[in-house]
This record gives sequence, C-alpha cells and structure tokens, in this order.
Amino acid sequence: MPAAPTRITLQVARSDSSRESTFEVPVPSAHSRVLDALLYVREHLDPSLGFRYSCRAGMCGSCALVVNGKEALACQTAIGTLATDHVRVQPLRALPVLRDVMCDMGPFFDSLKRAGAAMKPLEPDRATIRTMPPAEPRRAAIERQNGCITCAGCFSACEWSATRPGYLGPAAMNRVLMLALDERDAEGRKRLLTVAHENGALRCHALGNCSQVCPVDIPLREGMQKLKGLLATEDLA
Amino acid sequence: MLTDLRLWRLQRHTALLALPLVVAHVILQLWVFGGDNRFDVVSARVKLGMILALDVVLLAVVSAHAFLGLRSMLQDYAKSSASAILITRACVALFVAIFAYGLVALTAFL
Repeated sequence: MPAAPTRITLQVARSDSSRESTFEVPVPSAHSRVLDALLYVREHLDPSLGFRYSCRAGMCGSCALVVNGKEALACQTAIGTLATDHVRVQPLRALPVLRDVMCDMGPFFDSLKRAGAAMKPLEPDRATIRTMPPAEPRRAAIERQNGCITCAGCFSACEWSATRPGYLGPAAMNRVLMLALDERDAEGRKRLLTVAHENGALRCHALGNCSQVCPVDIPLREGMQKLKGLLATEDLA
Repeated sequence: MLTDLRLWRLQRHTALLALPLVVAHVILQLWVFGGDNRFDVVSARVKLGMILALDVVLLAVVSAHAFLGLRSMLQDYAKSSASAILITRACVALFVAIFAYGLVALTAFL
C-alpha cells in the first residue's frame, strides 16, 4: 500500500446545495477508511452530513457510495489505496438521494422483487434448505456468483441501470442465474423468463462495470454471459 | 417478452449461419470462379440451381442479421415499450423490403 497522506481534502456532495462541501480531514493511518473520514466530519466539523453505515466490516453493504468516481464501500476503502490527498465522495448513481451521500435503496430492491429473486424451495416442508456439499457440481456452478451483500454498487455502475428506468440490473440478474442453476429451487429454469427481455439480460452490453466495482468480487459480467448462454439454449416456451 | 427472446436468438443463429456462408461465398467468387463478373458469366452461374440457392440463403441470413443488429442498437435509445415495438416493426419491414429487392435483383440474371 502506498504511503497515505496525513491529511486529505474530503469533497462531499450535498443534497441541499448544488455545491459540494470541502473538509480538511486528518488521516491517522494508511489503513484509515473513507468511512473514518466521513465520521470525523460528522463528529467534528458538520453534524448535518448525511451518510449511511452499519457493520463497518464490508458485510452489510450500507455504506456503498462513489469514491473518486468509482463505486466502493466506504468502510472498506483505505485512504492509502486511493493514492491521492483529494477524496471526492458522491452518492450512488441511479438511485434517488435521500440526504447528501445517502440514497433511497427502493429502486434497487424493487429490481430484485421484479426479477422474483427469492427462492421457492422444492421441498417446502423441510425445516431448512438442504445443504449443498462443496464438491457437488451444481454448487460449483453457482459458487462464484454467491455472496452478494446487496450494496447496489453494481446497480450504480451499470450504464443501463443509471439511464434506463426499469432495467433489472446486475445484482437481480445474478440472483436469477443462481436460482436457475440451483436444484433446490422449485422454479428452476422457468425463472429465466423474468430476465429474457429488453430490460433484462438481452440489453446487457457486457461492459463489465458491475464486476469491476463489486466489493465482494462476484464475477457479474461472466455471470451475465452464463445467463445469456442459458437463454440461448434453454426451452423457455 | 418471448418476441424479444426469439429475435435475440435469431440474431445469434443468423450470425453463426452467416459465417460459413460468407466464407463459402468468398471462396466461390475469388478462387472457384476467378472473380469473373461479366453479366453472361454471372447469369450462367446463377442459373445453376445451387448457386442461386446459396445466394438466396446468404441474402436472407445476412439481411436478417444486419437488421436485427440495427434493431438491437436502436433499442438502446427506446424510451418506452411503444417506441421499442415501433423499432422492431420498422426493422422487420426493412428486412422484408431489402430481401424482396435482392430477390428481384437476382431474377435479372435468370
């Protein structure tokens, strides 16, 4: 990791003004996070600054925002890795801003609902869903697509989510892919119909912005290609 | 929804079909027929049923792929379902028109 600056200029988008606020923030360590800088501002400089966070461990996805032009989790972005003493923080794209850099996640969660991205167990009477052993080929097929923390970073980075209302977005389609390949799901390949349209997988241009910003490194673009492969070959009529 | 999927699949299938057809066309024109494109010579070739059939299939596949590709690009700018449907219909109409024009043009050699 390059040496972190001892002080940064933190430029933050504000919802109550067209101008961004600028703060001088100390950086005690190369491992200090962007979230630490935001918390410093709120505690010492401007208590009205609006942002969201929860776990501080990269698990909940609450603190996703745009740091120096790229979607990231504030709690996982070490200031030392940014290699600059000027850090610009903006809200996620494609989502309405509630306050400053805090967004309304509604449209993102709506996309998951529209895609029907919830499992319908094949064996609903079981107390728990059957565990798929690691060596099981079916599990291998979906393992790499697993682990989405629903931060909406991909939704923000996708050129279609940001410009085309109604587009499902990478996270929802990744979930549909996982469920379509999951033999424990009652819907199975029929799920593919929920993404087989011009606001779904057929519109994806495979630019790969989604994969580049995913904080848990899910290969979303590769997943989309896999999804297109299924759409090309499966009998969905 | 299924129309979108069918057209998307058709675009992929025509791409796969066009590849060997275009290669066969180039090989026939440049090496087998030596690039001789005098009217009488071409007419004699087209009158052979196999060459005519190849030309018609090539025309259909390449035109379909081209207009499906154009449709796909134009759909990027469609702001509503109505405009998306209009684009699809316009592209299908253009395909039919170009294919018909090509068939009429081929009949000149018969």
